Amino acid sequence: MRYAGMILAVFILSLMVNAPLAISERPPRHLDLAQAKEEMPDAMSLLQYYTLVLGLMQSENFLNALNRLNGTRWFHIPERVRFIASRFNDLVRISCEQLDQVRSGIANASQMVGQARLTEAKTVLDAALFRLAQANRTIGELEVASMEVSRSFGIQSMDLFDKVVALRRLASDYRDRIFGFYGTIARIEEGVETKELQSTNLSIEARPLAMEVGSDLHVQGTLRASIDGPLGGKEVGVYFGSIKLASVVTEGDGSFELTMGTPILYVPKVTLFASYLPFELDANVYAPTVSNKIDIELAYESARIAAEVPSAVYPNIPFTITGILSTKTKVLMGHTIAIAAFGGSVSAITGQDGRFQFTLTPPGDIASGFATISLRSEARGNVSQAQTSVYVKVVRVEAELVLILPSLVLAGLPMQVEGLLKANGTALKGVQVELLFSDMELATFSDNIGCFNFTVVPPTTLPSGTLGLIIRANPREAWVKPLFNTRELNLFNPITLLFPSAAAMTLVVSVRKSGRKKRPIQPTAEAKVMEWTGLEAQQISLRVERHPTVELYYWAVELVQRFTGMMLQPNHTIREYLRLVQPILQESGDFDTLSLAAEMALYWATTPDVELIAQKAFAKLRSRLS
Amino acid sequence: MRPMRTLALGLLASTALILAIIHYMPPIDDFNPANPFWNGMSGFYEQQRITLIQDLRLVPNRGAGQALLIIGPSRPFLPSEMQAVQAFASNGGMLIVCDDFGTANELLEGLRLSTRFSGELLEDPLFNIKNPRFPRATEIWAGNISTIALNYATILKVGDTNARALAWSSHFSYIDENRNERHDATESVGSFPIMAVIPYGQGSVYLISDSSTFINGMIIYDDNAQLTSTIAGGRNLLLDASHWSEGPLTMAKDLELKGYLFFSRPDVRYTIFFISLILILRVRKGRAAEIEGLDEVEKVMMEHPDWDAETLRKIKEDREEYGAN
Repeated sequence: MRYAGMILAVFILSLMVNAPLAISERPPRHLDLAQAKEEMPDAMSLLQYYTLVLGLMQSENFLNALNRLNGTRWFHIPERVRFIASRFNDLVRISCEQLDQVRSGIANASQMVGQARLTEAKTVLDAALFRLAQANRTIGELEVASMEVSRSFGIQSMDLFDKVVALRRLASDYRDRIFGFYGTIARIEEGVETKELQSTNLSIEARPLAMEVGSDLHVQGTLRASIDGPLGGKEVGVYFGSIKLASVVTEGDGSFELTMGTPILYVPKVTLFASYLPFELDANVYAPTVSNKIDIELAYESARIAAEVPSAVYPNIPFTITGILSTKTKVLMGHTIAIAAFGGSVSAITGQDGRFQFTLTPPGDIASGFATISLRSEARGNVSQAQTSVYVKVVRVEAELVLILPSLVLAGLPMQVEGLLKANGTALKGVQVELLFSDMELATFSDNIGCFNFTVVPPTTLPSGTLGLIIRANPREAWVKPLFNTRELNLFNPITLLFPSAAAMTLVVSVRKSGRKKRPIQPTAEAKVMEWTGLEAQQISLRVERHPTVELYYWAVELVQRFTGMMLQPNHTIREYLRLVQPILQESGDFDTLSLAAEMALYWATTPDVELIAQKAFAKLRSRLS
Repeated sequence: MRPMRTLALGLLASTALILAIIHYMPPIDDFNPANPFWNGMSGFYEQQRITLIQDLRLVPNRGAGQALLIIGPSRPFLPSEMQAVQAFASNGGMLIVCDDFGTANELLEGLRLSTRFSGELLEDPLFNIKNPRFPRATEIWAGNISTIALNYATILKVGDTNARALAWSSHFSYIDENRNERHDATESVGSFPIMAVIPYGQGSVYLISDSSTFINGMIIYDDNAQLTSTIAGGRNLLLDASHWSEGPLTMAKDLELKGYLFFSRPDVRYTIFFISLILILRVRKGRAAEIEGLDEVEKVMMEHPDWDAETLRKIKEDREEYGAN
């Protein structure tokens, strides 16, 4: 236990000395985010940011304001005040969206009033007014929230509140505009109802009702007033979808007629209508009106590009893209196909079969992986535009290296390293090949068949064992990956083997020396024992170094041990063992005699008589016990 | 048990334990790809398919299709290393250097570029994670990256006319020149460039003014994880592992490995084996000689320690005086 305690003490002491090695570390140059102290955002910066957002809203730049507001998600807001900030942001966002909808509604209504679509304009204004009411309510909540945010983030209480209150002015402005339009519409409607204004009627016809895109369209119509009848010399606007096609002046009978080319719209159907918006003096006489609406079906052909690309392309190696431009019914010849790929663009014309072909070369520094190629054809006539994207896989092939190395090299002697470089079965010519091993760096170039060789002499300082070689090559061909190859060969260095050899030799010499020092067997003693005991020499030779009488005693002990079963222990003296076995032997005293003789031989002088007595006693004992 | 043996056993046990700790404890160095703690880059290393470069001179001369990352270098760059990087970048390679207060300016100087990492601490009181020392770059022109989380970052002093800044800090950020962790009146405020690209020969050099963007503690934030793949496209990523300073544990690990490799050499192994055998033989022989040299009484006492040595000595003297042997 005492020693165990000491071992433990040394162990702990040693650990204490060595522990800093395992756990010490210099302070890192960055900070552990998990351990960093959380801080509130700076109040002034926060105010500035919200001022920016609310300012954008005031200037009706709602989209930008929303984008800025989205930026607040990158603020760090501590958990305890996150709800307050989050609620404030939500209210700003909602009010922004609501005010934006109000603004859009007013703009649409304005356009409709301009097109004399009063009923539709009124509906839009109603919706806008409803949104404005919601926005007003939201701004009210925002005012309260701004006070809470100011208190939580340490902003001067009125600063943020003032910015929010400014939104009320915008809402108020919107309300005025909405009611302004209401007023305009009301005045017109009131004028019609009170007969101050004559209602007007505008009807149109068009042909054809189905046509190819861009074709001519014939429109005719009539403008009539409820009292004055057909209205001549009035300007009527004709709309093709949202595009104003033309303004036409009515004839004396109120009719108008025009034939015109239509805009090229690749949509299946377009609504045609006309409107009359009286102005100047007419505005006090006639009410504005919108004609009946006619759907014009547009016929066109959808073009489609089908392109074929190779499954893999290689940097700096040209490849071909082919394809066909067609519609459902025919191939399209003479159309221009533009292609954008690898940071550039080229174009080609489709042939008679509608096919096209490009030859492209991926740049040498392009990254391996997928690259996008975009193809596009412009619309022409009744054929719509077409576009598609295809992906090509840019790959680099591995350089193949065939290396011939000796299986075993001897340090200090030159060795040949020969190799062959190729890729996809093509020899790589003129490639700089570098060989690195130990601290040496050698370079050479591959020849016309891609072969290279080095003659190197492994330094004698390298140990015997495996020797690592690095072979590096940078092919000029961009489509081949740089080569980095490691190999091992067996190195035999007699110099470094000197140490283990010397140690082995020393060991052998040492073993042999200790073998020589063994004492030679004493032949006379051996002969004596053989004579007395009659036992084999091989067995006796183990004890010949003892006095013959003593040896005789030990043979007697073996007999006694077998007979009595009592073993002579290492700590037994001759007398102790005698006392132990005497009760069992119960004999005349042969073993007593032998014990006495052995004691005399060991600790006293012996005489031939004693030896003779011992021999006789042994003989008697052996005959009796065996 | 004798004290020397006790001491030896104690030392042996503690050495074995220390060696085991060194072997099994993960490294805790900054940026180490095997370090799983907050300041390591194990997550980044596992996420990307990265080849570690232990010697910058071994980067391919032609870097087309490859991107070399040098993150948080602390050791100086050798002229031969700069030449290798120069050849790599000018022959179509993409070099991405992320640094703040390290040695990357040496490399930029070696590449004859005028843009530098300013070494001034960037803080942002509004756009940050937890506190201003963890600012966010919010205005970014690189693929789908919208924000980059930074950690104790600096800014770029863009000096190359053909350089193009790709990411900026927010307008609220400032330079904490005296590092007192607050904005003082004289300290610059505004949007500062934190990422830029400079065309370089057939390749390009990207600079990011924070070395910590890809450490385990930061890669989980914002778009940090996508930043490399966005910049590098499908290029093979190479990561320079030769310019990080090593802590005592890593040095001990290196030493342990070197020791292991040294003792694995056949010549050393066999020399030690034979020398050990010789020593064992010597010790055993020495002991035998020691026992042989003992007095007869001492030998008897070794076998029977409970006997009386005085009586034995008396018997021996009597025998020597009166006996024949």
